Amino acid sequence: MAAGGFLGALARYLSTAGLSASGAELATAAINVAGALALGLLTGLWSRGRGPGSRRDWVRAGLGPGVLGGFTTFSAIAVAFADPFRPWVALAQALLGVCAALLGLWLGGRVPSRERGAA
Amino acid sequence: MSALGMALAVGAAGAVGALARVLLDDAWLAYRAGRASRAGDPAGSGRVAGLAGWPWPLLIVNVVGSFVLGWVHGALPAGSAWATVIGAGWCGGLTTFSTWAVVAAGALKERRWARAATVLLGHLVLGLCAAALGLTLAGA
Repeated sequence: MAAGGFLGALARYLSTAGLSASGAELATAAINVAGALALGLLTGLWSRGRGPGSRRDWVRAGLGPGVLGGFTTFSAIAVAFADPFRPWVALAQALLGVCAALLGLWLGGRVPSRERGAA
Repeated sequence: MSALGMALAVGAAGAVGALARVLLDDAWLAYRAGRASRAGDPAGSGRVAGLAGWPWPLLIVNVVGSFVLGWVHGALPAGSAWATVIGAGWCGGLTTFSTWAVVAAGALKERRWARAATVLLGHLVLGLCAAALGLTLAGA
């Protein structure tokens, strides 16, 4: 789990380091929406007993809250949109993230369930 | 600090933040399970549902992380080693956008409109307020 958080945070830092403030803001938005899509997809797959680590708790914890939880961030958007105060941009990013998560859940949930006992 | 050292420090701080987030979530789940079994509802589905089932740990980590990052932005020089390690590392690892989006999406999918709306707006309103408070206290 902590190793996942390490990788996620590192990947986010490397993708935003050296960018201008507005560039980092865009990169963070892309990271957040992509992370929401990926976590939705994984959650959908896991609910069907599919996907990486569907039978191993530690893989699920490492990938979900670990890598993706560490990769995406809320604090950066809260601060970016608190000063200067732009609540609508924050809301737009949140709604985009929820749509991405819904798409992921839907796609993951369309995969047929794994048969009991199958490899 | 060298670029590699900086990247490793940010990753390590991110791991500490992410670990704190997951430990808080686990503690909350254990507390709820204990309360549910004492109430004679081992599944935790009926009597203690409602507000107790609302994702509080997620809100706490996002609000705390937003406050700390706001303070860091106001108090420490931008781009300094500490601002990057605490901000991009610890605050970024502690707070999460993906879980928030998936929790809200899951609530929408189950047609729990009130939960979806309170999760979405609660995080936005309290997170922005916490960030603004952190910035103000730091004198920015």
